[in-house]
Amino acid sequence: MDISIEKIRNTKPVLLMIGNHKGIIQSVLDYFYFNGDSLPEVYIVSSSGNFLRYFFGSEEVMLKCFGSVNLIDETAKLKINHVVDFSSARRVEMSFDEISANLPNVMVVNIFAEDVAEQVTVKILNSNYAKNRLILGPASVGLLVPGQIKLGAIAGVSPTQLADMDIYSQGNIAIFSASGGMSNELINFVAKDNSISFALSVGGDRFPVCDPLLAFQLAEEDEQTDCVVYYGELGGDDEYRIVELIKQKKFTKKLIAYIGGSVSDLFAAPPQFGHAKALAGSKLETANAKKQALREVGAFAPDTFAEFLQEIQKFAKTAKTELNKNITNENKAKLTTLLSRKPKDFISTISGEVDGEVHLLGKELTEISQQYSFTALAARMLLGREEISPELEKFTDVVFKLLVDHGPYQSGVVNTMITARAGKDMSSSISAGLLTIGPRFGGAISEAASNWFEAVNENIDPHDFVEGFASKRKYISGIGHRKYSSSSPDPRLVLIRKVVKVGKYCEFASSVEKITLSKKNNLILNMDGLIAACLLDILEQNEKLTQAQIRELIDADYFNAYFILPRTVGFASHHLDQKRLGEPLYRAAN
Amino acid sequence: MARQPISEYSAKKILHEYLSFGYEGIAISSETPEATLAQELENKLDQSKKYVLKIDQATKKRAKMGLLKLNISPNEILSARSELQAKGYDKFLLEEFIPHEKSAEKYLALSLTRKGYKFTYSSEGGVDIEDVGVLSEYEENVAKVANDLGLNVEFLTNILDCCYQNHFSYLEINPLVITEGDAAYGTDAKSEAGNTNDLTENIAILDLAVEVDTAAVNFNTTSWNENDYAYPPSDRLVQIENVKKLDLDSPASLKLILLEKNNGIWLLLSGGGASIVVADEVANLGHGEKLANYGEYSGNPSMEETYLYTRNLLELVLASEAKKKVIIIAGGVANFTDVRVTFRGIIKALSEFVPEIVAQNIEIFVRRGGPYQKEGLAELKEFLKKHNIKGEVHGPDLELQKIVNLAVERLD
Repeated sequence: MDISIEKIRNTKPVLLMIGNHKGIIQSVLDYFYFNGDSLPEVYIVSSSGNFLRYFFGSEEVMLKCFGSVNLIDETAKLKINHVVDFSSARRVEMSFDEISANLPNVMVVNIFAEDVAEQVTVKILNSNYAKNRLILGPASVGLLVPGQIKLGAIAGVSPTQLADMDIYSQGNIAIFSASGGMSNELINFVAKDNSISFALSVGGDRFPVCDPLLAFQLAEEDEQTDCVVYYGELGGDDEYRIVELIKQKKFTKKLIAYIGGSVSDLFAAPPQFGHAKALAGSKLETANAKKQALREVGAFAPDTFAEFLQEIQKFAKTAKTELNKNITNENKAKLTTLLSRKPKDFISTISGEVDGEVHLLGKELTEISQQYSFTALAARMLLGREEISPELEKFTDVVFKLLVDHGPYQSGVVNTMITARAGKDMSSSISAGLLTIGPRFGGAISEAASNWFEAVNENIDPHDFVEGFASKRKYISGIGHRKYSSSSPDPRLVLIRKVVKVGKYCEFASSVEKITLSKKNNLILNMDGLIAACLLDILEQNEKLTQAQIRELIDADYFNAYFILPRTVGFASHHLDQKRLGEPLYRAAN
Repeated sequence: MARQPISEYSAKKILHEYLSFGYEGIAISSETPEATLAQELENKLDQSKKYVLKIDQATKKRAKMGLLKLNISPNEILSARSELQAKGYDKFLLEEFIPHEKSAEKYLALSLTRKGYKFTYSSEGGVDIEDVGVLSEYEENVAKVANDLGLNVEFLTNILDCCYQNHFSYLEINPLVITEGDAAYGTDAKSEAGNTNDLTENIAILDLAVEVDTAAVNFNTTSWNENDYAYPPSDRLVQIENVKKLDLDSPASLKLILLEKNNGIWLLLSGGGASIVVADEVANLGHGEKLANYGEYSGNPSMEETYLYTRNLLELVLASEAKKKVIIIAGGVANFTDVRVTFRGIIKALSEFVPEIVAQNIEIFVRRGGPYQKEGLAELKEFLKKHNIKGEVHGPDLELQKIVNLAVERLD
């Protein structure tokens, strides 16, 4: 057996949560906080954005979020060792396949869904991936290893519950239960005057993926564990297999067991109790028969729950140490901060205030402003990090200068001038100019980037690419100019090409241009198209961004910023120019 | 949810269709007026043939309990129905009577296990199956099963496939009648369809019991839905039906089984495990004969769902003719079920019956823990106090089973 509780205790947890189950995920983080750990790596699979906000202690933290298990960063895929799968019952099978295919180093999976089809569970439990791993569920609240991890809803989800009991110090009693509620009931009880070595719920389904026998083997091998407290129910044959295990001396530690369901005998026909497995189909499956069998091999399996609890109490070898009491006292203090935490309205990774000082990209503004020119700073802020390549810095500088203005007859400048001449203020004039930026004027860089990006990464042939647009009678963003043509090229392009090393995006854009030029001589690669292609090449070659990160930038309209920012300078100067000249209100000629 | 019997009629239709057998059974309910039924039978039945009328309500050992009317003529069917109806049943299945030798009766069952489907079978089937030794093999040994029973492997493989496709967790044919030579069943279907499936010629599926995996309801491979579920007659109280419907429509689990409607100990429990512990304790303390019900809600039901669940339960409590009644509202320390929310649902339902609860002197005993327990328990305590309803409210400091001690003391 590969998996062991000791291995879990000794491995730094890296978690994946499939589905955004706020309460439970927060409680898992709160457990680490109460335990005195720093924030571990936690990833979430969810369609609700790039990051999800959670708390670590009273601090708000952003957890990285991926659209599916497949899309997780390759390095993270290798690190993840604990998974809670909140997928719905219908998606459990597909989700498990994704986990199996992508996450080779997982030790524990908690499948949370109830109502998973039996055939699906049987398929999962017979899969190769399930071997040598601890797969808890379906319908499981997960695993608790005190001092290390609370994986899932186990032991409660509210901060109050987590602060109230000592589920942090390592003890010698293991708790197993098919029932999530009873796991927690017993955790509460044991934590009162003793400590837990580990606790798990295999789930109340007919075929828990984790054979209860595996749990007993884990307890047998775990040096910390001296005793297993077990809650079982009528139905199934798990307890007989445990009896066999004891007979074969493969489980030799103390077993205190309660088997629920003797009340079943009162009913004329055996009723189906709360858990899917809980139905006595035959005499052997009744609670009383199981208790008897357990007693015969020396387990303590009393008739009443009260006797069961008493025996657990008797087993408490030592009273709680002062140290343990301190843990709970400390946690009560931490709880006060947790109960008053509130989410922030906005979270920014660009800038912030620390003790009244403005910080930009993690440094004090006064410091960073002395390090970089305006353009160099802008390039860094746009990418959201201080570390950028010299290529991007140079490129940004050239583009910003070249795009600062392009004559007074461009639609944006015309709007700016008209507004200035109507007696409006600077911000109105600039806004009026900005409002014209779009697919036909200056604002095609993002769309061109999107086109180049998709075509190159999907290996689309340039001919097919052009044909695709032609057949839909659509313009290709980044291709064509009213004034420039192959016979009178745009001189700005030459300057840009000088500072960029041609990569696959620039190559693709040039191949497209070759084809479009053969149709009409003004269908040249224009500024928008070239800037898009160059930026893509730089982001990939020099900034080493992943495809997913580049896609994010395209969707966020990053590329158009390379026109909007410099041209704003142009608009401002045209506003001032009109004011200086004292131009009157403009009226269009008839 | 879990394994759920479907009606024999539905099960037979699905299986026969899958096997390309013809099936001409007729589902009959107690609600069809005699005249309508008589007309229907006259149109559909061959007056010269003999028939069998059976209860179709997930009832085991029908033959031994006299719930089968065998070898009856079409004109005896109406009186047979009245006779069975008088025993409290209301769903029946009418089929052609197939005379056969006892020696032709085999037993065949398939159930899903951790290792896949398991065949349980015997070449001596029939009503005394419990006294006969049965053999069992996992699905990979289907050929051996076929050989032992003298069946075609293809026939068994088809049944296995049908179980997979329809998410049958359990399927039992008893008896499976195999005759040699003479046509026993389905010959009409064969000649009409003109197919030469040898199987239909000498195999008859006389009694069939199927349990489906309710988790697969609405899967696109399955040919059944909630309407095909079969329930024993005791479950047909309107409140029980309401809860069943609530359970089907909710992602949470809401269960309610009635034991004896005029008993005095009523359980409103949460959690699959803790609910059993509490119910066990009632029996352990020697008060089993006063227990009225078992039930539980879990999986974080909404306030509305808890309200509706409680209201249906309270209607049953109030209707009980027991002299002294107690309600035990109990559960373990929840992991993620919000105690405040679920208790608000309970309070809302209780508040609709305050005068009746007070007039009947019903006492309420509460023990619960979990997220927001402090708030939930306080609100319920306040409510009981305000309306002078007797009882006690406890958190996890009271051992789970002890709430039963406190409640049953009030019965003596």
